[in-house]
Amino acid sequence: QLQEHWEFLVKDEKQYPPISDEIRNDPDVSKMRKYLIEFILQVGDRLKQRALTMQIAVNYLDRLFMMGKLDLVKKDKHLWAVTALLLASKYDELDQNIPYIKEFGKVSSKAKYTYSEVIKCETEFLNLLKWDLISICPSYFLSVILHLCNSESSNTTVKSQKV
Amino acid sequence: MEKNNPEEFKVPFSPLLIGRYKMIKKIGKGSYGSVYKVEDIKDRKTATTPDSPKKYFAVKKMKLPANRLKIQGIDFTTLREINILQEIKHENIIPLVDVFHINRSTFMVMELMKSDLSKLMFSRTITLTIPHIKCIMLQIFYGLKELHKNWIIHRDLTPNNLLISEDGVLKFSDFGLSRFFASNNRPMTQNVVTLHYRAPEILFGANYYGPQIDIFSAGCILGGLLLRGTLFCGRNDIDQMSQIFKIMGTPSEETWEGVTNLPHYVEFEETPPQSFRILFPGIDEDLANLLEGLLVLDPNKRLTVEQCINHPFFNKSPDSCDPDELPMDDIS
Repeated sequence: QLQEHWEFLVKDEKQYPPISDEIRNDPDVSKMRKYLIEFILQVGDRLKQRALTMQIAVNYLDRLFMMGKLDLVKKDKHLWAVTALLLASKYDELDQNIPYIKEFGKVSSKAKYTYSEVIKCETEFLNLLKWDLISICPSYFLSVILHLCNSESSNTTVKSQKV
Repeated sequence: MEKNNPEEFKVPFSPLLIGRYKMIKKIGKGSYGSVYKVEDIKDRKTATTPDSPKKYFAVKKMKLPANRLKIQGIDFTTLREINILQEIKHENIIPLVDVFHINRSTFMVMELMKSDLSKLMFSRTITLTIPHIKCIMLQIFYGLKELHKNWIIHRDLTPNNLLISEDGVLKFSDFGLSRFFASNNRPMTQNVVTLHYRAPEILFGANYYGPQIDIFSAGCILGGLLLRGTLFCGRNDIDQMSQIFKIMGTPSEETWEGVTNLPHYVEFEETPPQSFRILFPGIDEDLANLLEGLLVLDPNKRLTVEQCINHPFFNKSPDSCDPDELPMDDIS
């Protein structure tokens, strides 16, 4: 079953490729990306989001960069980051752990936006992503590997599952 | 701010959605929102002959989150449903044609279906024969196989959510509660599946569950098709469990390892399992065996979807009928 899972991930990764080196190494993108990743990690952490959720949020932003939308993101970078995190949370988190829009403003003054601003950005974001929120993150692969290690060793390491 | 403006939550409904879909009438309503029948105007304009048949679709308008404090933007169940429908293209899964967002409502355009399984199941004029039941169940299993293969649990498999096309093809719909279970061992919410189709591990509050919950729901549907009613019709969680255990027997550590450790485990008065051959007199032995396999209390002992499809019940005569032979005349 794990093997099947692995193959499924490899297949899907082709369809949802990670950010290309070329774009990632572009100085403007790189600077923006570095800043926004840090911002997402900070806000996400304060909102008690799982690490995977934050990875997915970064992946959504990466997809914008790959579409050449750097200038669009630049206009209001925090709004795009907040929306990416919100979308990732809605896609991935436990239902009761999805933050409310106003909670973003409570954990960071830079993340303070009104409902209208966020939903407008959200609609635009979704149209750009073609409403497709599926993403393949490195931790999916890691979790399969860890699962493999766990089942081979004893049950005592099951706790280390949290990636 | 939007707080003082309730008008903002009413969606002005132009008769022509995004200049393309013309509203005909409302055809359904549910907890998620409303469903409308629409005509595709664009398709008509581009058609080569003016007499070409009108193209109709069903548009699902997703309701807004009720509690304003909980506002999270576009409803997450809608987003998940859209994503799953985009990922899966299969004969037995409802095709998603278009998605758009106007003001504060999300609209999903889907193929228009004639009916759903509950209408067939509860109809008093339709007789369901063994070939009919085989045809329905096989289609359910084919749909489930495709979902489970793609690491998706439906999480709300009920006769209401199984739509039927004009030519008898069953299509899964309403993926609002579905989700990917790709990452192993992740806790999940227990607030899933309509009570009457809910698996015992969810009723006991298990944080970790898998595709087996869909199999249990399929078992409830099969029982319902034989009974022509609801197999386990509990009034609340506890009543639901006692109804299940009355037939399947009370679980114990011997029959279901780990059951007593589940968060909401409660002990029930001990009852032995009953045979479906007594419950449904004259039932085929293999059919009773399949039903038991689907409804096994311990999720790890429940049949997998592969085992269901290859079950001896489907291999012996009478054979399953073709979808277009399903009795559909009286329902719409």
